[in-house]
Amino acid sequence: MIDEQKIIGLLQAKALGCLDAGDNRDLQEFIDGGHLFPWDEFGKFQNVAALLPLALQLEIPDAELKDRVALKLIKLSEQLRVKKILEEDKFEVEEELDENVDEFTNIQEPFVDPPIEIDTETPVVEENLVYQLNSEETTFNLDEINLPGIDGGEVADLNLQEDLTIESPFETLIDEAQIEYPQVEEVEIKEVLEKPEIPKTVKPELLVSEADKVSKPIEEFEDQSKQVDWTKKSVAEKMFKAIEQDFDSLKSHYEKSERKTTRGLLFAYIIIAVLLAMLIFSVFKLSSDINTLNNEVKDIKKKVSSTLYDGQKSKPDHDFFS
Amino acid sequence: MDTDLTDIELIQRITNRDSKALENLYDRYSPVLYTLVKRIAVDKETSEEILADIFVIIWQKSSMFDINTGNLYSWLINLSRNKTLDFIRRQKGLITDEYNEEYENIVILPNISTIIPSNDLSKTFSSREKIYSAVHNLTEAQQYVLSLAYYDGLTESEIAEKLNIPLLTVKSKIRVALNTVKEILAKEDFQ
Repeated sequence: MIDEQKIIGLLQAKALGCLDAGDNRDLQEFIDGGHLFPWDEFGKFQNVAALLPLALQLEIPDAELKDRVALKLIKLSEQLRVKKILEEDKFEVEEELDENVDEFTNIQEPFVDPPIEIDTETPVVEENLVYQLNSEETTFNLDEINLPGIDGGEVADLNLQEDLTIESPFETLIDEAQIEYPQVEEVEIKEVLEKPEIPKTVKPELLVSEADKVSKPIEEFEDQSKQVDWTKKSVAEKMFKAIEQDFDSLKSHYEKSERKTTRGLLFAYIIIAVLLAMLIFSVFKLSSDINTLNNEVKDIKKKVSSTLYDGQKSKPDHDFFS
Repeated sequence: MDTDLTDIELIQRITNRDSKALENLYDRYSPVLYTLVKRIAVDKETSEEILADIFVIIWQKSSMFDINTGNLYSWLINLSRNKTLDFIRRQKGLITDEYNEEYENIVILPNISTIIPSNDLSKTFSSREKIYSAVHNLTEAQQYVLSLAYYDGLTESEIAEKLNIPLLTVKSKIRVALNTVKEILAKEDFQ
């Protein structure tokens, strides 16, 4: 039986996340055992524990970090998309293979992969990809991203420029990052133990209003607007790199299956050539056998007729006197 | 996007794959989360890497947040603490378990009590000075033990071993410290 008082004494440590393994097990057993657990009290301690970081001197991350988060999300969604395309492609090929196997089940010759991969690969690169890029399941709005400062001509040969109307989560990300956070000096975080001194540069009230998006006069940010353009371009380049990587992976997949198909075709040609040679050989063999047999028949006929003639010749008087 | 949206409205939109809502959440929470992460990880680059990972987790796992708790603030703080401590321990080779979906759901995503006072960032920011004074009203020993437990991620036994003091003393200090902060904040009508 677990002591209820002991459990109550563990709530603080549990909320702080510093409970020993043994105590944690006891607590879990208590909860699993259907006892009345003071969730209300525990929730309050969890809330207090979560407030502790607010006693630290606040630091604001670099504005570039926002771009990195956005880029990370875009890459992640692209990876998922490419993975999905490849999986669908693999599924289609397997289905077609199954159909072909059914058609040729009576043939005993070795099965050669039909060259279907080329037929399925081409639309994956051109049409299916476009379709995929337009799907609603995309994350972080890659479909609607407008690449700032980049001409559509650069992607003309990808057949994607119409579909990739890139609106850019970054554009706003960067602008707001520049506007929302005033240039606060980065302050070293000291130990909690150090003497309290609420930073004068970052007032809580100010931060609240920052969090709620303070609109500042545009003149204050004239210099920053240049930075924005620069960042936009770099983000666009990064994004292009991400897209290029995806295309590279598709391309390598396409080349791989093309090689596989060529190998299959070559194998099929060899088998056909061998079969043809065997057929020609057997035709010649058959005709020579027929000729031999014909000659033998002729010989036998000759022998039989000469034997009969000799017999009649040796007994001429026999018939006369009989 | 409407920046007056509540935390709960934001997380609901994120769950519905609204990237603008995630951006908004980033604007709102990145300072406090970054402060916490950097306090634990210390290194700036590592902290930035972890913070980026945290927002990826938020994007992917926002549906795991129980909206009924009404306390996104605590969920995000706990998520950030768990992720940072895990990251640091992996860097030090203290954790060798495979980091996969299941691990993330069990270890990194926080288990918040369903009965927790509702809270959001604007409310906590407005009471920041009260929280600050409540924490700094604790004795130095209490603050130190709290710091070891919360930011360094040590268990009670590890703290006792580190400070070479009895385990019961550590347990008592943690209990008293958190109770004191809770009571001070309750007096201020914060909870």
